[in-house]
Amino acid sequence: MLLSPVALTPAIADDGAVAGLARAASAGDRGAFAQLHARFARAVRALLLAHAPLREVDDLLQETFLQAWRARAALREPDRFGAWLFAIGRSLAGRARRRAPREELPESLPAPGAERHAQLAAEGAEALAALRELPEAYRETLAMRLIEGLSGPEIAAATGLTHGSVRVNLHRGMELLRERLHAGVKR
Amino acid sequence: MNDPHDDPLFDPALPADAELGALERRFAPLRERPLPPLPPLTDAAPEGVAPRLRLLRGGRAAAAAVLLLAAAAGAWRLSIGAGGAAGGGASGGDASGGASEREPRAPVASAVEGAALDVSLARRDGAVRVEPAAGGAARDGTDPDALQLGDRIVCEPGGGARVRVGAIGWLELAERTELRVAAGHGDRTREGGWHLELERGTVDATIFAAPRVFALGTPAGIAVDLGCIYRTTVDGEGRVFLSVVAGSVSFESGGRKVHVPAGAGCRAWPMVGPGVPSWDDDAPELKELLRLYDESRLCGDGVTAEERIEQLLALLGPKPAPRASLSLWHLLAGLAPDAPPALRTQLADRLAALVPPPEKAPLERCRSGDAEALAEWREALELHW
Repeated sequence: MLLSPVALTPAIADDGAVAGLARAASAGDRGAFAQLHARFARAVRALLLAHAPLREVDDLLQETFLQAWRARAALREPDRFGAWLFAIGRSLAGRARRRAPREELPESLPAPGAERHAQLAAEGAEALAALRELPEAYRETLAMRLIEGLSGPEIAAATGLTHGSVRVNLHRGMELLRERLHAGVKR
Repeated sequence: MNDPHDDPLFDPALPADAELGALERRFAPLRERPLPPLPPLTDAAPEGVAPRLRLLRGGRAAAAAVLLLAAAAGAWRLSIGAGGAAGGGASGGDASGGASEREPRAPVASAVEGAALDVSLARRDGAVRVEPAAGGAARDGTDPDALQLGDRIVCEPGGGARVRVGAIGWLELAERTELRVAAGHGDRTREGGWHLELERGTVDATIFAAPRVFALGTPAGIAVDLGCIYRTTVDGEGRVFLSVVAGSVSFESGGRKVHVPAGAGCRAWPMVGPGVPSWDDDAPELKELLRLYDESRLCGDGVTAEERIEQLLALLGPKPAPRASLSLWHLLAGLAPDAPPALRTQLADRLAALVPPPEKAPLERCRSGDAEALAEWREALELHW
């Protein structure tokens, strides 16, 4: 049976619940794992968008969680579930990237047929390409913020970074992204 | 840097400045895409089984396949929802020599259980004919008629065809190809839904289905689909080359199972079955050594398996990339039961240097060829494949 996506995605609150859920999931509790999915799916998708071929992101998102479920017994630090999950996501994204060195970015952005949407899709693709040129730490943090709309504290809770590190990554990443986008406009 | 309480980059609830707002709007098309649901959490891993969710993988996949993805995924998810057990407990399997107690069920149905097989010749290019199963006149294949069990599609030189397989995908047949509709029940929710036999030639299969619903037989083994796109070629002597573009295939023969993920390929020989898979971008020297190693199982070439493996390990060097574990694991798992223990240990140790076995599969058990431990190890290695 497929588990339905939750209607409202709960925040990745740093409320201590993640460790408990991860511990329960590690022991085989599917409900707990579904809650972790609800909390982390957007963050993982952002991470995948920062690394993987766009056309494969949704597929890889599902696979990341499936791999995590299958490897649940190997989760040794439940309070670092996010970092562990991201490591799986990065690994899968890396494999996908090696297999797909070239990518036509706008391909799977939505809304063919509508001029306005097509323009938005092209702009989004350009911004994503620029974001992917950033160093990894900035790229992932910015993707979580700009693409998935996670807040700084949520990013910190998901990644295990301190609030200060997240802020630094966001602002330095923004500077670099701005430079790249402006350079792209000039070209 | 801004005060954390007045920093819209850190706190999206605060009003964004013009530049940040513009960027957020640029990314909006990505953000607004619905999240895919949590996949079915099969307990496949403890059984040494690897359910594959990848509906599409690999840069070589055609753009057209991307457009089909959404529709196909919907169909696939329906299939899972109706018959998840088929895709869970029966998928994958250990890829060793088949001595495990967890030997999976036969990959395909041995008999037809229903009438609606739903296979048809959807397109014909040039000289294509359909030879009916029970004699009679050959049909010319101009109509997309339903194919019957036992029908053989023959693509002559210059010909080509597309065969539609239920609602789960299609096969592109190249010229000089013969394909027979061998078995199945036409139910996409259960394993063994379709079994076609590639007798010679080349077929590109694009299948969106739960694992083991579709299988392509060859003279040298059965390519059991785990949800993917792959090419299979059978030459005039029945030798097979299988190359996976997306997803993965379990290439099986006589209890031996070889896992071929996207970006990898595998040769197979009649009476011998599949060999050791390798990555498409592996060095030609490595592929050649693997081919010699595999062929030596068919007829000795004066070089022992130990010597050949020594050559392979030397070529790989002391610290190859973790993805080299694809070939190394299959070499280890495919060793004959009477292989020298030292050889088994040497392979296991080299593999462990790349990716250590998980806790529940101690290295000692892997060194001894324990099929269950090797299957556990493969589960861990798949993260690198």
